[in-house]
Amino acid sequence: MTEQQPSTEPTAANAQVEGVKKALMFYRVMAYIVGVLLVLLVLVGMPLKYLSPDPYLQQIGAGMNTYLGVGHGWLYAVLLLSAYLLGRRVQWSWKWLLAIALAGTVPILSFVAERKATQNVKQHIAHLESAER
Amino acid sequence: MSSRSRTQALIWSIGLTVTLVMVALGLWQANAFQASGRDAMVTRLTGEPEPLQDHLDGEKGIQSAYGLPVEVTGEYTDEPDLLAGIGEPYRVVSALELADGQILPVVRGATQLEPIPPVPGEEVTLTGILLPTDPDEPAPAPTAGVAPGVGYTEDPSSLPTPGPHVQGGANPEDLTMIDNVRLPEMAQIWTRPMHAGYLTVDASLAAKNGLNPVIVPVPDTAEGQARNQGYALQWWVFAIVAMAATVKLSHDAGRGTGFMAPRTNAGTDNGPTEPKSSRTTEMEDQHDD
Repeated sequence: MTEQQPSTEPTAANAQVEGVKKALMFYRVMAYIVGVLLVLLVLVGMPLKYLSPDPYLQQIGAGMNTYLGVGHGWLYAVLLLSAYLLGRRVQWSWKWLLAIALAGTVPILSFVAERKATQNVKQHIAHLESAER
Repeated sequence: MSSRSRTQALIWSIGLTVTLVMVALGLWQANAFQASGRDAMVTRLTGEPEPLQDHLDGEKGIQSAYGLPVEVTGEYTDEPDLLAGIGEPYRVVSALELADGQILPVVRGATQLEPIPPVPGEEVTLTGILLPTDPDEPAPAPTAGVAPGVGYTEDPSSLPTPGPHVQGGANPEDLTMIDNVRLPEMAQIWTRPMHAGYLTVDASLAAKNGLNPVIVPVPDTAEGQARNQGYALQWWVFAIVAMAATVKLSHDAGRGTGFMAPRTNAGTDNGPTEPKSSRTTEMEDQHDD
C-alpha cells in the first residue's frame, strides 16, 4: 500500500474537521453581528431615545430602535441556528446552547460567550487533527 | 417512571410553556391597538359630531368618545391659559367648565406667540375632536393629520387662516408653558376636577377666534402596524423554534444521545470526548483485514 498523506487525503476525518471549521465560522460571524447590534440598541439607541433632552435626538434614537430592533430579532434566530449546527458537530450539551442563547440577550456578555465557545471548539478541532496523525 | 422519561416530561413541560408564552406574545403584538389601519382612524376622526354629554352619561364614560368629533357646551373659567408645545406654533389650552362642574381642557387653536385672544365670557357650544391625552414624548406640531371639522390634510396652508385679531387677551410670556397636552401634568396646574380627555376645536372655530387651526395627528400609521405585525411574526417563529427544540431534546433524552448525552463536550479542562474520526478509522482498519 502506498503511503497516504493525511492532510490531503479526502478522508471522513478531514471532511469532519472542515465541517466543524465552517460551522464555527458561521457561528462566530452571527455572534459578532448580533452582539454589535445589541450593543448599538442598548447602549446607543435606548439612551438617545429615553435620556436625551433634545427631541430630535430622541427621534433618531427611536428610529434606531425600530430598525435595529427588528433586525436583531431575526438575526438572533439565525444565531441560535448557527449555534445548534455547531453544537451538533462538536458534541455540546444542551447547557452550552442555553448559555449561548441567554448570553445573546445581554449586551457585552454575548462577546464573552463567543470567546468561550470558540476556545472550546478550537480545542476540539486540535484534538481531531492530532488524532488523524 | 425511569429517569429518562422524567427528563422528557420535564423537557416537554418547559418547552410547551415557553412555546405557549411566545404564541401569546405574538397574538398580543398582532392585536395591539396600533394594528387598526389609518383609514379606519381617519373615518372615526371625521364623522358627525355627537354630544359629549351622551358619552359622559354612557357606561364607558368619556373613553367611548376618544377619537370622535364631539359637541360640548360650557363656560370658560378664569383659570389662565396654557401654551403647549416644544416649538412654534404653540397650542392654546383653556379650561372649559361643563354642566357637571368638571373642567374639559380645550385647545382653542395655535399661536405664533402673539397676544392670545381672550376666552369668550358667555356660555359657548364648541365642536372638535376629543382625545385622551398626548403621549409622554413631545413631538413637533404635525403637518399631516386630521383638521377637526375639515378632514385629513397634508397641507396646513389649505386650512382657514386666522381672522381679525381679538384684543384684550394675555401675553404669551405671562402664560405657563408645557411640552405637551398631558392631562396628569395639567391637573397639577389647574387643580380643579378634570375630565379624562381634551378637545381640539374645529379649524373654522379656531380661525374665527383669531388663532391658527390645529391638526390632530392620526394615532397610528401603516408603518406602526407593519412593525407590530413584524414583531408578532418574530414571536411565532421563536415559538416554532421552541417546539422544535423541545422535540429534539426530548428525542435525545429518550435515547441518551446528542445534546442530552450523559458525558458530552462540556468545555471542561478534560477536553472533548474521543472524536468520532478515530473510531471510524479503527472500523475501517478492521474491515480491511
